[in-house]
Amino acid sequence: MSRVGVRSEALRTAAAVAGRAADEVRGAASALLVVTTRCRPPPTAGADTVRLLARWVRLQEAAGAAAGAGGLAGEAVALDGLAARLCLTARAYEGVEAGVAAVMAAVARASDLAGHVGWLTEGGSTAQVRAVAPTWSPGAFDDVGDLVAAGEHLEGGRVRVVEVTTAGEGSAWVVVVPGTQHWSPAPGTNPFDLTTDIRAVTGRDGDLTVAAAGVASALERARATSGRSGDGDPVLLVGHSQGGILAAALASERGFLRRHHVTHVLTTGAPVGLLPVPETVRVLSVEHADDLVPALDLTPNPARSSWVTLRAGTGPPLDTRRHALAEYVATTRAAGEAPLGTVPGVPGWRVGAGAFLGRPVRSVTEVVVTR
Amino acid sequence: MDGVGDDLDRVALWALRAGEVAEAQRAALGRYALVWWTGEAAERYWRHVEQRRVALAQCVEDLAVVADSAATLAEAVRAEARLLRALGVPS
Repeated sequence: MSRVGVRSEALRTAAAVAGRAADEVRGAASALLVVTTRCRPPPTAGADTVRLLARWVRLQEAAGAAAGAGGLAGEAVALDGLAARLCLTARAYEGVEAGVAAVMAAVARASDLAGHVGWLTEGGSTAQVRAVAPTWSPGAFDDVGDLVAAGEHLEGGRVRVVEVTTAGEGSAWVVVVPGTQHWSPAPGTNPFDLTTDIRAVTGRDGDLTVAAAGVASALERARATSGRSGDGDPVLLVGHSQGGILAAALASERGFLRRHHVTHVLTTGAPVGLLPVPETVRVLSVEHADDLVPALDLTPNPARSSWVTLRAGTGPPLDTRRHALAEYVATTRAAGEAPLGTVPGVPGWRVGAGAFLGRPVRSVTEVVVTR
Repeated sequence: MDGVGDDLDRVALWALRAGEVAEAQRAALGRYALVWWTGEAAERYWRHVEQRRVALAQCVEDLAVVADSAATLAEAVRAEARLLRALGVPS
């Protein structure tokens, strides 16, 4: 099942379930109506005859109502209606999914074409990573909003890796990935650019962009430098916009997952619905309803227990200011401070991310990634 | 009159079976209501499925009442038959 076609296939399965339910329920209703119709009345012989007859009549009425058009048989018709409606919706989704697949293919073809003139292509470049002095002052990540805020001041292709001390005195790693920093179609030395946006969303499985490879190198360098790195250390990838795409792409890449125990991904304002992040990774995606960017993949995020999507606000996706990192910091802070039970999914994700939240920071590594 | 009691027992049995079928299908719909995505269309789908699950739950309750009434009436009819036999009244 391709990721793009998953909605129509799920709907067809659900339609089949509703159809089977209709058949089963109709059969049960029909059988009950038959035995009810064949049930003879009590003979008119004893003193209690009138009372028994009245009870028999009431039973006939009740059984007829429970099994008939107002009861089980009617429910069979309603279930048939549900099955038909689901089939129609599945057909509509197939059209949408075909459109999404075509758009993605067209964007990939267009970017390949643009590659002939040196645009939107990485042309065999590799990631170069250079350590720089950290600009982020160490402090614990007290809440989800702090993780998002760690994405501030990552200009110039900077990637931030924060090592925190776990309860067992081991290490956990928070990798902060920047968003798009250059919008020219001509690829420059900073790989956090439009070329990476296009390549990350349309790339084939296993094809890491230079930017993603640079993020992986940044984590590997930080772990090697620390000297405390263990094989099972949990890793949390956090990114805004393109950073979210790269975080989810790395969490979907088998080679990266073999080398690192990625347990959590946090994305803000990122179109990540098409990325096949495994169910073992707990994802929190924060999206503003009036931010166009998270909807650019035309695909909603998975609704499964390990993927929480916090969609904030209402209205059409028109307000470009709502894409700003600062807006997402404010949203995630508000979600973190909200009374328990008012923001579904986030408290659970936060509890799961206990290895990273509220723990002392051990080291901060920052690198500049170049192409 | 025992034949009538048997008829009523059959009504009780088939009402119970119908209730079990309705309950099983209600559970099956619940399992498949866990669709993969979020959004307006998914919420609409969940609403439709939930309506059917609520309606099936009502059917289960109604059928339980029918089964109980039929079983009780069967017992009453048999008691009446026993009384008539004791009094020597042909039924």
